[in-house]
Amino acid sequence: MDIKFTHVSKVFGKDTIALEDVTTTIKTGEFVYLIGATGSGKSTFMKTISCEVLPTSGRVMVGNYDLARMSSNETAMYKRSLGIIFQDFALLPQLTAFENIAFILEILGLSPHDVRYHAGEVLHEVGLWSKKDLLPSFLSGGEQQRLAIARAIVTEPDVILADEPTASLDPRTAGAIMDLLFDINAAGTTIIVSTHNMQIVNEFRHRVIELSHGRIQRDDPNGGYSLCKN
Amino acid sequence: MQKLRYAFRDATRLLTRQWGMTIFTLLTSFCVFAIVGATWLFASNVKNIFDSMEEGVSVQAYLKNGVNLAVARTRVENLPGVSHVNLVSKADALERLRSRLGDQSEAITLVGDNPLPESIEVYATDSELVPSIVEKLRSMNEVDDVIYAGDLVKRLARVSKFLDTLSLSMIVMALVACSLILFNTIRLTAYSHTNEINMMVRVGATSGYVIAPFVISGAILGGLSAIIASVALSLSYLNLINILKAFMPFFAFIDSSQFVVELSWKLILGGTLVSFFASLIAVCDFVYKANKRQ
Repeated sequence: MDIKFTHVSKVFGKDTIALEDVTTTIKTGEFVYLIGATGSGKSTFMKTISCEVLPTSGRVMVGNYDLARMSSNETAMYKRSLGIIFQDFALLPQLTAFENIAFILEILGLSPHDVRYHAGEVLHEVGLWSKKDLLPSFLSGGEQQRLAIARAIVTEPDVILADEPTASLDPRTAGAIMDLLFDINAAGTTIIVSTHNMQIVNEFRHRVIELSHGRIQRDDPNGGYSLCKN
Repeated sequence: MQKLRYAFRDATRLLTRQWGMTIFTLLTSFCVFAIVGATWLFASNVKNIFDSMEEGVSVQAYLKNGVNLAVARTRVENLPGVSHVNLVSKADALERLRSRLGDQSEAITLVGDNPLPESIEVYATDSELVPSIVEKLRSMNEVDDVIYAGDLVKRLARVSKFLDTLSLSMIVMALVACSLILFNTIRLTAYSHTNEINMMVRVGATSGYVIAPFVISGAILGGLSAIIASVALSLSYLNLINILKAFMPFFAFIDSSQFVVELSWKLILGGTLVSFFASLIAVCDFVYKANKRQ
C-alpha cells in the first residue's frame, strides 16, 4: 500500500500550523525515518496516516483508501490494516502478554483456536512465549516494547507506524528492537519510524524525511540524522 | 457469533477483574432499586387503604312502606355507577340497632312493633359518582329518604385523586433518580477503562465491539442488584405487613404474595433495562470521543 500525501496541510485551532503543504509518497515496503525537532509535525504526520487527525486541506491516500472520505466502518477496517507501535507501549495493564495480542485478533473475529495459534506464533517470534501469562508490569522496558511490536505485527499489517519505539530503552535494547523492525521490513511491510535517536538513524541508513515547522525540509533516500538549520 | 462470545467473555472480565468497582456498582444499584421498590410498595398500600375506605362509603336509601322490594332492588342496581347493593329488611335493621345499643338494647321493647323501614345500602364504583346516584335515588318513587356522608365522600374523592397523582410522581421521581445514579456509576466504570476504549478504537475495533461488553456487564449488574433488592424487599415487606396488621387491623394493607411477586418481576425487568440503557449512553460518549478525529 503506497502512502501518498498531496498538498496536505493541518491547522489546529485558528492559527497553529502543524503541517503545511506536505507532498510525498512512501512506497510499499519502504523503511522511512521521520525526524525533526519537537513540534515539527512528526506526530501530526503519523496521526494523519493512522486516521486520528483529519487534514485541513489536501489529500491522503493509503492504497485505495482516501482517508478523508471514509465511513466509520471503512475507517475501522483501514485501522486494522495498520500496525501501530506507541512511544509509551500503550499495553493494557490488566491483560496478560498473551491477552494483549489476542484481543487484536478477536476484533477481527477470529476463532479462539486461530487466536491462540497466531498469538502464540508472534510471541515466539519476538521471544516472549515464556512470559505470555505475565502482566505488562512484570515485563522489562525492552520486553514491553517487543510485546507492543508483536501486537502491531500479529495482524500482518501492510504499514507499521512506530512512534519513538526506542525512546525509553537503553542502546543495546534499542538496537535489538530496530533489528526486529528491519526483519519485519525485509518481509515487505512498510515501516515509518518517528525518532529522535541520532545513533540509530546514522547507523542504519534508510530514507529520511525531515520535517520543520510542518514542512518537509529534507527527503533523503539514504540520509543520516542532521537537522536542517532553519 | 464469535464476536458475541467475546463480548460476553469481556463483560465477565469487566465484572471479575475490577471486583471493587463491581461491588460498588452492585451496592449502589441495590440501594437505588430497593428505594424504588419500597416507594412503589408504600404508594400502593396508601392507595389501597384509601380505595377500601372509598368502597366502604355507602348510601342508605330508605324505602316507603308497601314497596315491592325485588323491583326496588333491581331498579337501584341498574343505576349507573352502582357497584353493588345490600337489602336491609326491617328485621335486619332492628338487629343492627340492637347491636349498636349494646347493654341498652332492652330499650327497644318499649317501642312496640318494629318501626324501622326497609332500606337498600348502595355502594358506588367511584366515590365521585355518589352525588349523582343520590340524586337519582331521591327521584325514585320507591325511595322515601336518602342518607349519605356528603362532604366526606367529596373529600375522599379528592384525596384519592391526589394520591393517584402523588403515587405516580413518587415512582417516576424514584425511577429518574435511579437512572441518574446508575448512569453516573456506570460512567465511572467506563472512565476507568478509557485507555482500553481508546486502544481498541485505535486498532480498528468498531463502536459496537467496544460498547458491547460494557452494556452487557451493566445489564448483568442491574439485573443482579434488582434481584437482590426484590428478595430483600419481599422478605422484609411480608414480615412488616404482618406486624402492621396486628397493630392496625382496620387498615387494608396489601398482604398478597402475588402482588409482591409481580412487583419483583417488574423491578428485575425494569432494573435490567434501565441499567442496559444507562450503560449504553454512558459508554457511547467515551467511544464517540475516542473515534473523533482532531
